[in-house]
Amino acid sequence: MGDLLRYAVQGIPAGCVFALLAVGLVLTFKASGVFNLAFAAQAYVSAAVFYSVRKEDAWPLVPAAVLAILVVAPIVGLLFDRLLFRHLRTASSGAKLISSIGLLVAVPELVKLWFGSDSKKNPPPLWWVERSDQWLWPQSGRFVLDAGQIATIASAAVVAVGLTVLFRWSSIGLQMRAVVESPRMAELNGVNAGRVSSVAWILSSVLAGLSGVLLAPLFAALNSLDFFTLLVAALAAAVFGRLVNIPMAFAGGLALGVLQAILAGTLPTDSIVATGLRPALPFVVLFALLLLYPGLKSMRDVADPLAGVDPPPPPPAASLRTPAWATVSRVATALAVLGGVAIGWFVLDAFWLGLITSGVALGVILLSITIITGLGGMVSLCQPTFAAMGAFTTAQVTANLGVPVLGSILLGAAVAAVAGGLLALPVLRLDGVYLALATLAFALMFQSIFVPLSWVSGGSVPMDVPRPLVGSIDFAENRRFFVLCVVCLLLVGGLVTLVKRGTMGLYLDALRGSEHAAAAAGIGPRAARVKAFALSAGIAGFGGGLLATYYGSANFDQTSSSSSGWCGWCWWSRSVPARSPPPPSAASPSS
Amino acid sequence: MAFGVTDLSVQVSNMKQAGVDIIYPCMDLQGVVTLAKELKKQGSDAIMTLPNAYDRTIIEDFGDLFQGAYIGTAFAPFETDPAPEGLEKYLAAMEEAGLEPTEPTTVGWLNAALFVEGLREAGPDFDRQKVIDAINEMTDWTAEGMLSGVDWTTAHFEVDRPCTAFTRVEGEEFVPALTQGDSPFVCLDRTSDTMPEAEAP
Repeated sequence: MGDLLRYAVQGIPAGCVFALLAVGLVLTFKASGVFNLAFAAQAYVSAAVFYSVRKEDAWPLVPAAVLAILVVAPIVGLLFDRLLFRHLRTASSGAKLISSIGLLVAVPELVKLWFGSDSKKNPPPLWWVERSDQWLWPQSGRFVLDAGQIATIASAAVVAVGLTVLFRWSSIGLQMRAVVESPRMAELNGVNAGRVSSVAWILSSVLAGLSGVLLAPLFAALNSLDFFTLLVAALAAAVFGRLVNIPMAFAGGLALGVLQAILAGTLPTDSIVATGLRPALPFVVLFALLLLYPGLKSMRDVADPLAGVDPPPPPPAASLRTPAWATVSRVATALAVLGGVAIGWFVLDAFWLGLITSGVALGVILLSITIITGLGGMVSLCQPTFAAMGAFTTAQVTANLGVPVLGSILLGAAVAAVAGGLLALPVLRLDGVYLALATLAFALMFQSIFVPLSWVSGGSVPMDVPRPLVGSIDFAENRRFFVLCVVCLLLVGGLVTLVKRGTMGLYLDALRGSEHAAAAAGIGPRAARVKAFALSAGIAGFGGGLLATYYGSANFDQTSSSSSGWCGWCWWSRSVPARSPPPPSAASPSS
Repeated sequence: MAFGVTDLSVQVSNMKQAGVDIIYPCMDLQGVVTLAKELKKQGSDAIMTLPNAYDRTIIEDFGDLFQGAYIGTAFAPFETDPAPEGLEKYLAAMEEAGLEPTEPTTVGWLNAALFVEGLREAGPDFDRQKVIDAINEMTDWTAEGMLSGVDWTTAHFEVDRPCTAFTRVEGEEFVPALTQGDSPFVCLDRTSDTMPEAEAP
């Protein structure tokens, strides 16, 4: 018991880190209706500004903190609101989530244009010392806190209490919640929705800036990805608060830190379970909460009762084409494909041909998003996981069973499809943001637990994947392989088009319009969506196998370092209007 | 370190309780700095042996955390005295180019030196395969003293007697340590059934 108590106490500082980030996520969702993963990017911006003025320009502590937290951070938040999220107010939570992912990827890269991308070691703390461990309290003893930990614990507690009071007992807090639920209704009651929205974003951005400056010294060097990994780990705490309850999110963060410390101290170090569970704990907890927490069961996108007042968004251009224009675009597309192949075959050198080929293989993976998100209306953040499953299966089956590569790729697609179908069974009880988070949790669990296993990925030794050999045609030659990839892309694209126009596509369209009406017409929502999940996973697995064949290997590093890259793919493919227009009805409850 | 882990207080307090004397972490900068900070906070005097910390910028920013730590390198450290011929050439080349000697540039130099040696051994009528074959026949390649000696006939598969050079962080300097006579390298026989004795190459 003595050791357990010790571990629990030692987990409190880390718990306060999670609590601070979880409260930030909840604040943004509660005040703006956006599940803002770009909170991590905002934290990085303020941390970068603080580093620059405090360490490089030797500003005193207080002016540096004021600039980073109270000036730059609110400006960033206002820009987010005015330029983007205000125009997405009536969009679905999925659309807002994907937009925040776009900002999460883009903003740090924009900051690096000014801040530089070289290593910025030893970020300064929000304290009058050069490094947080240079001020300790008490000086010695069993439990010693450094300056950074004390500042984080105090800030997390003050922020949680202050925001709870704000939302429960202040008029601005009530106005923020009203604007999230229905901007029109709030305006009818004399609330300036635009101004309230700006205040909400300023408030959440100040908290993001504070988090960035407080948490940067936890890392040896300033890196935007570190904030994202912390934020992802804190997601479980935010979900514990059902994304709207600040005290519960705070408690969830503390509990997560304490649980992490207890497991670190009690699990045997040489156990396979410990080796897998320890790094995956935040995601296992997140996944379990999403599937089992009763409070999440009935959470769906809140439909604005006055949504019908606003004109519907314009339909995608694809639905407005005249038959003549459709013919022209099809012919132009065919000519572009043929022209592209010709250029690749006759003109491009090995470097550019390789880049284009890898892009074509990635395109196959991205087509999977058309099925799951475009047709199904579900945001899945684990498509790279299915691609990885396809890649690893291709490599293992080719190397260990001697199956020809093309057959292995198809087998990899099948394995991914089965995995997608199995995943869909428990997660489809969720909707909107929760569904997206469940898929993200699954992706991170897979990466933490399964990818390091040698029987999955080969461990630290990459598995070779040869190019296909079909009869006398050896696709080791780069131009032939390029053409093979283009053919695969066209075939998968044709498959997606057939699905879109076929029964499955019509069912998914109907479900996006009105699930109840579709069910009344005999369309089983669960079966259609499970099939969509499985098919999209299979396509991603096929693309993953193809990509592994291009690289010549499937390895751990290719999958584990792609989180920001994947976020970029996800935003791009969701933003491109590849899906059919919504049915002509009132705002749908989902998607 | 795993996702979301920023604190090693539990691990360090357990190490302290177990009376750990030496820690050999195989982590990145983030991991070893977090570990070092926690060791300092909890008053542990365990010594760290670091395989990836031969970097002056790390000592500039975190030197107080790594005082007394042993840093391992596969090549003769820049501080080796007397410096082997290969090391002198490398340092002179870096000074002429106005560049700071670092571990990554040393590795690049060694790769280039191996390539040049392979070209020489392959002879004037060389091609890619002949260079590869020539390198794979070398049994004691030292890069003019920068390395302990690489047997390329077996190095791709097994190294029974790995050798490492060590320096120790003292103040803001890396000071050669555990030298075996004039050699900066310490070699241990991995095939031994008992604790092997440290030997020179």
